[in-house]
Amino acid sequence: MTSEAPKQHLNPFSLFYYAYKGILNWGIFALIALPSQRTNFWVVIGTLLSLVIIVGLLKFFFFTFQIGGDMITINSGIFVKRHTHIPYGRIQTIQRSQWFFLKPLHLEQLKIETAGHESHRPEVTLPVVSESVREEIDRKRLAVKGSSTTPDLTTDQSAKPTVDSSTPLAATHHYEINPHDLNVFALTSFGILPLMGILAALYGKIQEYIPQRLVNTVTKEIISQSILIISGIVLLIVIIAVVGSYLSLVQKYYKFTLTSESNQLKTYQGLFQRKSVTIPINRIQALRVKQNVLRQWAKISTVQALAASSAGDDDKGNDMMILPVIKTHDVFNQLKPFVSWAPDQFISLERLPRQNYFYFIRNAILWTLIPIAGCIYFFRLWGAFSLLLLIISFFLGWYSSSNTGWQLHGDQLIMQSGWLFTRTEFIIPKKNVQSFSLNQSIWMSHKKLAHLRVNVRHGNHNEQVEIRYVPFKDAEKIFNWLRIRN
Amino acid sequence: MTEGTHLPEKIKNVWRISAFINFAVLLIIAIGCYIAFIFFNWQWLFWPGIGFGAIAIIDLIFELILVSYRYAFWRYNLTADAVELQSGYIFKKLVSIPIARVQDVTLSAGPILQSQKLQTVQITTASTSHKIDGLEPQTAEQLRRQIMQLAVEVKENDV
Repeated sequence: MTSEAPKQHLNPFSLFYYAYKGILNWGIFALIALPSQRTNFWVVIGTLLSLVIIVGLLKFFFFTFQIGGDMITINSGIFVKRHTHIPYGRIQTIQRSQWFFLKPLHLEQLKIETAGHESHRPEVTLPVVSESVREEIDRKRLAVKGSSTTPDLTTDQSAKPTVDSSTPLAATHHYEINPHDLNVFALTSFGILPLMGILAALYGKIQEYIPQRLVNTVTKEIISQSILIISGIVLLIVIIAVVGSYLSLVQKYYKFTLTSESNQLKTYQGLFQRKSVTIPINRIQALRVKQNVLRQWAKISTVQALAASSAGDDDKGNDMMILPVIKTHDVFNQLKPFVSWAPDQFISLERLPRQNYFYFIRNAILWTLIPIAGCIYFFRLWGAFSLLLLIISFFLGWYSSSNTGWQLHGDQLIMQSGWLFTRTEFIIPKKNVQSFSLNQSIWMSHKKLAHLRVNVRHGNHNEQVEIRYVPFKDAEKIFNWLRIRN
Repeated sequence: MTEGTHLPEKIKNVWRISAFINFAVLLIIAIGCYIAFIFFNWQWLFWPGIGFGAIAIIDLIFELILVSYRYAFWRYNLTADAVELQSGYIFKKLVSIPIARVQDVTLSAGPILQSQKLQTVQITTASTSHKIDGLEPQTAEQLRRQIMQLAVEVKENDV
């Protein structure tokens, strides 16, 4: 069957890709070898380059793929020949990414992922291929889907009443990010905090390299103005961090679009590197609506899908962004056309009684006592400044407790929690709850409180959703509701 | 939250034996440190040796004390739709695994369990995995069959 399809090589540009990868992988050895006396600089570089080129050529030569009538076949391996066959029906997601400089050449990278969640890589990467390859695969995939009624997408997630999601085959929905919202989104990121840390550390490092004499003379002169200098540096670090995180977010979600077609969601995003991810809608296990406290004030939210697939942001643990930024009041209006089971609007949640706030605040304060004790022990009186952390931890606890909420809505469980000034709401269809538990310490049982934990599949691992210090009767109600098979 | 079946009494032996094995392993490390300290005069091994020895003894005492506690509060329960596991008293935990979500059930027994004629039951869903420490082989087999039967029924009727 498959032998009829012609064997294709990657685009020759993939040699640059292999060279780049090779230098990344082996460059470290060159760096180790270089400083020693006995090695000649040119010999080392020459060996590295020739190795990279030879291996790259071999890989290029031995890597072929065939787009057959009912499956894709990938042949690779220099010594150990490997043939991977992927039937179209088994393809879960296709991810494509395209650097801006490859756009004029119509070349892109494709990652094809299957449902199997074995320990070895569940995906195949075609590093540099022509855009027509994806078009051909898509065409063949659709043809296969059309002929067989249900392509049996998964082994484990067949638990899906595919009534509503399959009907609007013709209707495609389209969403494009609002540039103004994206600006607000990028400006309200907490991402500036780690960036500020890195910048501060860098500044410390740079200071070490400045000649001591220079520092001494300069400091003597300006010691009186030190407060001014310090605040200037702090301000500079903050500005660089804000600008840096702003630019990185804007370029990442630049012209983000979401399209739904034939039971699939497709995202498209990025400035320098256009990335696209496609996932079947019935792989979505739960929805997550997220906003940090700044975005709560700015009234914007982020919607992510927890999908049983490893697609999505590679670096951020499979968080598949559906709507990176959306006006909070508009979340479900926009979401509903894409995910048919999503609620029509924000469901009002049950909240914790005020007296339960105490436990969150107490815990937050107990945790900060550790660094405070350390500060006071090491810095004595100056360390007492760390007592200010108590105020922050008070608000952290308050925030967590006031944002805890839950509700049962049809066959969905809605759980909301707050953590580090970020509010997260999960919408979980009952059928996607893999297991759940009720936890209670002996002290909590006197106070009639419990933690409720719900496990959902996310990527190839588990996501535990928890609401804490819930009145026992409410937790029990949800627990018993989850127990009943629907 | 109190219905359910205890594990077989023999599981206490298993826990005790594994506590002693842990103790033995830690003790061997401690003795190894001591020997190296005496014969090769590696000074830096003195405190690690004492540390491992102390951990070995403390660990043994705690695990032996906890055996009865664990036994008393560990229960399992198979209802029409779910497997429920309950444990602990100071930190009470009740886990429920809907049978419709069960992917597979694995029975296994290492040497210690074999010596006591017990089997562990591992219940796996698409994202989590839960373990019953030890059951009589016939109970384990029966549980496995019941779960698989329910799982198949559910797959056919329900979804």
